[in-house]
Amino acid sequence: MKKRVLGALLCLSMAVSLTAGCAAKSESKPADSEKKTEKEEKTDVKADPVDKKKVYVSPDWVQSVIDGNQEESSDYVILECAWGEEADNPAYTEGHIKGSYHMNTDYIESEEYWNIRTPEEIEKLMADYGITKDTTVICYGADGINSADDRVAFTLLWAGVDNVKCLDGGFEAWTKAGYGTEKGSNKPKATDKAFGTTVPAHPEYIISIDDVKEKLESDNNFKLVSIRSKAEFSGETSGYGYIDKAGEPKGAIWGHDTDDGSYNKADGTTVGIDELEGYLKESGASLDDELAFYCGTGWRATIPFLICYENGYTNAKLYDGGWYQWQMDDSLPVQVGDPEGGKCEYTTVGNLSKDKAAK
Amino acid sequence: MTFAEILFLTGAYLIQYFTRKKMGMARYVIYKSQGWERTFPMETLKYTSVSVLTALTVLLLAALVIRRRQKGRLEVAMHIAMVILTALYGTYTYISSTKTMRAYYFISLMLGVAALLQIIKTGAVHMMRGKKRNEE
Repeated sequence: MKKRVLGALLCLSMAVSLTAGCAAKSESKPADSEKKTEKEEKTDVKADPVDKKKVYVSPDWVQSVIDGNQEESSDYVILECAWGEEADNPAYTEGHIKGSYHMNTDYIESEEYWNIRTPEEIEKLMADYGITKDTTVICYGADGINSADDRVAFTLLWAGVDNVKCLDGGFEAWTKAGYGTEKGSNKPKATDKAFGTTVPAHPEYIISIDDVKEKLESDNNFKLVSIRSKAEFSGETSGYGYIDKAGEPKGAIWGHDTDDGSYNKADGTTVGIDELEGYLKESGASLDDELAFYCGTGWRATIPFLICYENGYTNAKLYDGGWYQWQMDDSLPVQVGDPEGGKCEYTTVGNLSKDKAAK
Repeated sequence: MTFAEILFLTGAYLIQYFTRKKMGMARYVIYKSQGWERTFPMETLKYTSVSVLTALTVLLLAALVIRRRQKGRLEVAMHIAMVILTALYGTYTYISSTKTMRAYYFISLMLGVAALLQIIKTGAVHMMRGKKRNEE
């Protein structure tokens, strides 16, 4: 009898404690939901204004633009940048920054060498997206490593848009900051206003393959900086499934890859000019040299360019053709191996083996 | 249709699907297509292959009509499949291009192989029927 009573009391006390615990949890729930609601309803964000030349901006700044609290950016467009059509892009369809449009990187690149399209095509594209030179354009990609937004941002700066930003850390940073997203599709509103300047306003941002060839042979102050992986730089792999040959233009130096996070801080945001300077110093170059950044087809290389740009350096360029265009000409000189490491072979593209495509 | 033809038709669909979905696949397809255009006379190959397959299809159909008393249901079905595959290949190859479909050469090739396989099988049936008639 005693045991039964004790057992019943034990069960009762367990039930009471469980109920109390649940009650405690449910009492704390309203606070959590309030927090969530507070974040969702954060619609009057004020952030410090940033210089026009500043490229990498915080989620707070972008939200403050959306909230109308950045006066100079009242005319703005937000572009979610990725390869592929909108319907095939989960990065857009599964949720995007409110009001943003999808920008397929094929719209800015031509198929011949994956170089930036003609000035006429880019001007029309910008008009279709409602962009003039005075529009603030905010580009973003999936995360801080993804360079699709950097590629689009570079193209717009080259074309002549005055105020171009990249959301630092990408959509990942946006969702971490707790700002709103939406589904559905936004169609850009075309403008019939003139762009406002000749396109490209900054042709000097791009250096052609012919100029690279000439400068590598004759200009000691010119540094062709490879923004590729060590394996690509040393000729172990082309880095691409569709490029058979591996190597680098003869005379190129290594500036680290962006895809391995070398250009990102621990929080996913972009590193500063000091990091870039350090990478250049490793290869015997400096920010005072005439720098041309390149990679495979011109995406990764836009990141160090934009870092230079926002820090006021005007001696940086993008060699748009990259390894892809270089290896199409059998006569061009190449290096296979690490010139700094001592073991390096110098030959021409025509003598390279054709089994170095990335698997 | 046999497994091989279904495989080629499925392959054509998959290539197109992944060309839309994966940048690496799209660029690979474009790179290869550009290489083929530099190396081979693609327009000439296109017209020649469509003409040859169409001619073979017409010949086999004519043979079927001539021997109409000896045809069976299976034979008729094979000819229908042959006409469908040849028509599919010819229509696609003529109306499409790398401008409308990046994987154009790949898809055209796969459709062409599927059509050719069906022509070969149908031709083999004709030869077997002819041999059987001679033996009789």
